[in-house]
Amino acid sequence: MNFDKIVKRVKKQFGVDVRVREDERSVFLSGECDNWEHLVAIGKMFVTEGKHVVNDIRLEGYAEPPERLPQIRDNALDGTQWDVVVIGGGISGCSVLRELSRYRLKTLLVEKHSDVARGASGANDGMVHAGIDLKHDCLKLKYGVAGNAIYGDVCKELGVDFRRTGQYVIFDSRIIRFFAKGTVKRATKHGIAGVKIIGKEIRQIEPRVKDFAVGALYAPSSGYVSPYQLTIAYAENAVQNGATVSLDTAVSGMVVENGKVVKIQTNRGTVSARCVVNCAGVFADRVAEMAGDRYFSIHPRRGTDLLLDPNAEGAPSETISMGPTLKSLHSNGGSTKGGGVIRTIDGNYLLGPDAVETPDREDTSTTKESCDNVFAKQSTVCPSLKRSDVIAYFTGVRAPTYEEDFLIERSSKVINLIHVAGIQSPGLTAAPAFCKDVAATVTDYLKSEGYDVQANEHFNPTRQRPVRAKTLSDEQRDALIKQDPDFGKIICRCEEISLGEIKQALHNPLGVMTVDGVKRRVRAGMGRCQGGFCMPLVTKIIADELHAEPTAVNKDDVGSNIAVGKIKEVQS
Amino acid sequence: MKYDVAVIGGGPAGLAAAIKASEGGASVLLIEREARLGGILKQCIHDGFGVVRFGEKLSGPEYAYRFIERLKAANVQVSLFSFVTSAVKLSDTYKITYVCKDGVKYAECSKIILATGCRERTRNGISIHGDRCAGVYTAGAAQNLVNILGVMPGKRIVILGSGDIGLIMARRLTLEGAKVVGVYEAKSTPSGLTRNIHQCLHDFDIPLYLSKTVTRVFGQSRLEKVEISDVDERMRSIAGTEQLVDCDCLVLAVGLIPENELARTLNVPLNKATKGATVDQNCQTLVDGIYACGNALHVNDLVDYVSESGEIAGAHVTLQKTERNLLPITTEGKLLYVVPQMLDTNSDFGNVVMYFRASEELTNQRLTVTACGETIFSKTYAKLLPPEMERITVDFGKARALGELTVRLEDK
Repeated sequence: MNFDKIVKRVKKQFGVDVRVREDERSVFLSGECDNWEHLVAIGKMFVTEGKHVVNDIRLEGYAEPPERLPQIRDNALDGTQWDVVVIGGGISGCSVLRELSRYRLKTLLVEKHSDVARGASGANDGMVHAGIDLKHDCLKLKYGVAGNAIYGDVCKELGVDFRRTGQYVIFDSRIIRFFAKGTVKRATKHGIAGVKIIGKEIRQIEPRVKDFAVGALYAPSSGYVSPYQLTIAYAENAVQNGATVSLDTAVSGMVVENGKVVKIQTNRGTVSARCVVNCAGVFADRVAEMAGDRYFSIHPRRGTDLLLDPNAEGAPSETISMGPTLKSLHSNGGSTKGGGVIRTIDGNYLLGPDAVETPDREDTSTTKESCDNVFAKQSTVCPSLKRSDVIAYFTGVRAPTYEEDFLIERSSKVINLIHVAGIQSPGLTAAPAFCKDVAATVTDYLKSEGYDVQANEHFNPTRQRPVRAKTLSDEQRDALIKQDPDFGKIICRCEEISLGEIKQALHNPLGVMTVDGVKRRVRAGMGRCQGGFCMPLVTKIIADELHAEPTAVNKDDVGSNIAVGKIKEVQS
Repeated sequence: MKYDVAVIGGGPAGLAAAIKASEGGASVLLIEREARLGGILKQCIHDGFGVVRFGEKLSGPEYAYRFIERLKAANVQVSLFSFVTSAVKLSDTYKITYVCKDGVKYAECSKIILATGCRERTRNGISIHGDRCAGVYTAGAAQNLVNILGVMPGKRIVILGSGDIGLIMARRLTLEGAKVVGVYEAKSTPSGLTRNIHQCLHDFDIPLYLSKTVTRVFGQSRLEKVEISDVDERMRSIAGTEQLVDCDCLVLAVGLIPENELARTLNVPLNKATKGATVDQNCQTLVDGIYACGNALHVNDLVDYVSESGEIAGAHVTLQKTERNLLPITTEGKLLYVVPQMLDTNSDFGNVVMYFRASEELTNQRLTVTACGETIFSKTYAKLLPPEMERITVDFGKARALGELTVRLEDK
């Protein structure tokens, strides 16, 4: 293909001399640019049907910070042999691992952090999307719609709360409302049931928008889930069915022989694998590169969400987001992307997210600008929101490719390597569906290599729902406490979490024993006081469970000790 | 079980309220969330408690102990490690449901005293941005780590907030071996008592930096450094003034917020200025039979006054329920708030204890209390500081007519 015209346009628009190289799978870009947003925009200009963009344009004066790696070095895994190694413990990796545990395969998932769901899967809004804004003929649509359809069943099996609430996209102009008919038509064609346009009755349904709404698009199949709890549940169920999860384990290199990955090097030893699944999120292109298979690029995109107190007075009763306005149509082509106001599965309200391109794959630090922008933006659909109701904010980094679609396929070059890359919204919605196809790709490949793949006759799809004492009736709760008095001892006052629930979380199949691990599993520390009261108590409980001193307890990853030593023993 | 009164919270306010109510002849149930009585006093091992009440400087546990000993002699049923899950109004009483190690329990009572204390403002409450590393703790959490768990939250410590809690933690951490590199305060004046500035900072050569705040934190696993910025007179950070300070721990002593979750479920109206319940002179909220005291009512700076408000509530619950006639007490001038906000003219209003805070640092002020325009109380102050709560006793019986009640603060 001839890219001369685009090269000229890039030169004219950004003053950048971009060099283009092409092979059968990808368009490779190189050059230098002094602005990251321009660099990403240039990459997008070269997106062509049937090819991937590998953007090697350098950002002038920028040195990428070294990857954050586990502080552990040992040989725990050295010399072990696996049928399948899954790289990355996000929603993709964990759901694939669980799907693979339906077979009698020796599977290992490696995750560089001390828990699963530490990347984008742990830092998003938890929306299970209906998929109304998705383009025709893309994997996002295929798996998004399929995933949404089975979400209730999957969450039930895995003992995770899921609520299908529907979502309203609010319109403030009749013209926009008129044009939304096209969206409804498209949604129906895509198999998304029940999408409809409603008129001014939206003002009764959601009084928060009564001053400006002329109508809304309603998508009944939207819902929400706790994204990290679902990820954890997938991983736990996989382990219960025989899979292995190795935390604090980062892949540092691979040995490829005859077009196959044969060895994977980690900080915990070198392992061998018949088949490798790359679910490495923002590092997916790096992992591909380690296998000599770099044919796509990930351009990290930050998203910040704000969490509000469950008692926030100005919050809406429904999940609402602002549709395109005449003004936004003008400025950005009317993209409806851009978050909304959501009631999370735990009862908090959530605003966001925004979208900011960043060169740093692991920069989950929050900024005032993003928080201000998210609040200002979501206030347009719900002007009664109060800034003082914000109790927490967090940032996740999405992992899109330049094609902005999922990339789920077995590599044509490294034949035992399967990429699950470019997973961004609606990745959480899509995972329950695509994990099945990924597992099938794995088993098909193994069979094609003459390996006998048999069903795991002990597979149990059900993960016991963790006990949540607060949700029980008085009678049930009383019986539970009589059985185990720890369930009557409340440790986290804001979220009403008992010692029994915390201990239950600490006995998780993944063996995660950290303060944040407890927080993600049972919400101790997620309330109004943000752990001010319960953090020292949880630290002590973990220390007791570990039969160790409180100084041994980590907030999250190894090295994030809550305390640095005993009193009078530290040297400043 | 049936009780006359349920006291919720076994800290200094709840202890005082329970003792007083019991001494007045009421049957009392005291519900405490933790395994031991005393509330936050348990971890306040420094001295300075009880100067007003006992005329001596006690440690927190010693101060609590004096009340706990009296409680033992009183007719109070104490339920420890017990957490109230709901309180609902029946026709003439309240039904309280709580959980403890023995199961789910119920208590019926005609009156409730809320003594639920306060919580600390967090990093999110003051918009500190940056990484999610270990080493950023509220002062109370840091104090628990040091004084209860016996471990150090860091070696090189920055403290944000020069209130008494921040100052005391600066000294405490220094004594246990840490280097406190500085106490930073967004206001232009220190928030803590002058004696604490001397005893906690000067005596240990800990620098105090005013009109500066922490705007960002950096660190992968543990905190590595913080960004400090100058702030303007409205306490907004000034761009371009950022400086980085190496430290492995940030202690936040940036304010307390009354805990009123239970009050909210009981539909008790809260006051915007205090963030506690609106009450009359007997600490009774606008909901008949529900009282609020201590730091749940408004954040106090001296525990002696926390106990006092508990006693006011505890004394009144023993009286017969009467129809109330509530008159609002309005404020004028530079007052942050006045407690109580109401006067019940159907009960005793002879010696009404009132607490107030100025809204800014002021000199040569006169505080007057008027009833229908007539001055019934007046006091002058050479200096008033928002962090220092003032206490007065007003005899509303002096007033010829009780109508419009006003507390006014003005230049002398």
